[in-house]
Amino acid sequence: MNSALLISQILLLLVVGVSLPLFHKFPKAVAWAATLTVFASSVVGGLLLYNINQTGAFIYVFSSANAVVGIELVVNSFSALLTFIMTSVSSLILLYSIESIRKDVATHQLARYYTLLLVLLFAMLIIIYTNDLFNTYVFMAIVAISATALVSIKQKKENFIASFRYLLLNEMASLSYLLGVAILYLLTGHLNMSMVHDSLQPLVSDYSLAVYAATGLIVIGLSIKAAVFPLHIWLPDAHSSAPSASSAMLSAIVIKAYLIVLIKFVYVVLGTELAKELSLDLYIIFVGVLGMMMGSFFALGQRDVKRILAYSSVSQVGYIMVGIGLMSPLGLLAALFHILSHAVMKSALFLSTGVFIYTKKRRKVHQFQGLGYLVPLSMLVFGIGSLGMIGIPLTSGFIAKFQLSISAASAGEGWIIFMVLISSFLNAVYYLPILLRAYIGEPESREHLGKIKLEQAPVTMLLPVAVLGLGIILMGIFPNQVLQVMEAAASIFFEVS
Amino acid sequence: MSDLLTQQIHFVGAFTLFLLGLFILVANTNLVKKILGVNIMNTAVFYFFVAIGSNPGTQAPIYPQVIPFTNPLPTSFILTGIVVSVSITVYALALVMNIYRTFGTIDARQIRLLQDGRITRDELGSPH
Repeated sequence: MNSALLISQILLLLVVGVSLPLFHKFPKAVAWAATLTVFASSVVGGLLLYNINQTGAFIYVFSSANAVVGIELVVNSFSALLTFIMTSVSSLILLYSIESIRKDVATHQLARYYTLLLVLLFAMLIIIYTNDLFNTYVFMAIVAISATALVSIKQKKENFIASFRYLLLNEMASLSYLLGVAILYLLTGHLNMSMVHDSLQPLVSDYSLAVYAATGLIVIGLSIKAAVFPLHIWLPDAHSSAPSASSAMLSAIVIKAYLIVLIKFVYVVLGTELAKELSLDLYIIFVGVLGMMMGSFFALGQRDVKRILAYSSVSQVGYIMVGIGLMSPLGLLAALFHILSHAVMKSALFLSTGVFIYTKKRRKVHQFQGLGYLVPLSMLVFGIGSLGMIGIPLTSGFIAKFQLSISAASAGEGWIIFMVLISSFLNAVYYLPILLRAYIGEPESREHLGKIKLEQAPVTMLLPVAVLGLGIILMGIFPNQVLQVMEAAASIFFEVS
Repeated sequence: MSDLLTQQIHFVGAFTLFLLGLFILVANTNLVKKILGVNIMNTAVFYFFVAIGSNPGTQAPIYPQVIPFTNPLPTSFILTGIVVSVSITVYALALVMNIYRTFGTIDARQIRLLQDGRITRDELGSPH
């Protein structure tokens, strides 16, 4: 029963994805079909998550009963939860893109756009489920190509150059990861993550150089892909030039997939003890804190809202990295909660910015005068999202930062709390002026003042925006239910050791 | 330096090739040469996999089975890797084609100048 759910959750996306171009004559039907598919997949994922929490984890082996040669898909409360989060947030993004994408993508490209989105999601689900290092590489390449194509499909000058840079850096990162995997394979003779973990332990003292090289190559590769601070250079161009729905997808979902690979590498392949022995925890915390600060600093200098959001992603990835680097159940819990909270907040921000661009053609900060009265609902959600990013109580961002601070304190790294506070302050410095302009600044024309009416965007665009905004608030007020599920997910990695 | 990685000349060669490809990718401003650099990095990783799989005195694992035989798994990884590398190369070349069509150049430095509006398309000069 459970394996049937797993297969249908994954294959649904692939089968519908590759058959969509057949119906390119009916773009509207294609868009709805893609949205409903992702929604169905997220419902199946929700069922699977419920079953897993009732009956326990299971392993599905592809292509062979022998786990040494076959490929394992591990379904536990961690992977089922994350795939459920990803598919449900993406189904909202897809619902939004039904109308919005028609302004950015030519009609004959529309079916291809949805194929790319579904294949991207399919590959990310496999990345999260798989327990095989090489399989991860293959599907990371699929994610790289389809994510890059989602940027270049807009066919504008800046999109081509941004996606070229994105593609080459991604490929460089993939190769760095693959070389690291090759060294691990040379050392242990396995590609299965748990088997590598088991046979790596006795080898470390004799082959320390090789283990260091493999760890370094893999972590650097994943850091480039996840836009961890010094290696984030591809992100702002790619994320800000893409169509708004794609930006939300790339910023909220795709970089998280690589962070999850990093979590699996650190906690499953190396294990916390070995990772601490290699002082990987210090490195991850260091680049995390650096990214937290520098991402916000770079965002300060931007005038384009989508670029601000892109740089803000760099700093939010920093928070997640710190959570991963603490190597404690609490730290991982904070990282997981921030993965969810950032996915919801960042897609709310990108999608509401998409509404501003769609209805009013405004994307520069100085054009935001009085936008709070022209597009009230989207600006409200944008406001909620930015307050969440700053970490104001009653939003999910506050809970995420609170959890991170608690875990830092209990790990004896109290200085991180100070850094989180500074970073929150910096976030406030670049988000609050936007809100002030939108609500207090005078609009260019006074005709709209006094008669507030809902914006002219289609309801399929406004509904996802509203749902995401509501999600931020709900997670901020009732975090306990979410945290309970996440605690189960985070504790998996600490049961063995 | 008697670690595993320095024991075989092939491993050292693969790493040298990898760094060479990385240098070509980073140091060149020509976009096509950057793609070449990535391809060289790819080849280096494949070379490394071949070196892992091969052992002097072993034969290909073809029926009727000979013992000892070469580990066939790394070769199959390379096949997958080649497919990935070809698709990335094709897509990157298609992007370069579009970049040339819109910017009139494939030099990263000139593209940056064009994007900043510091030069116009007519001032580009002859293509490299």
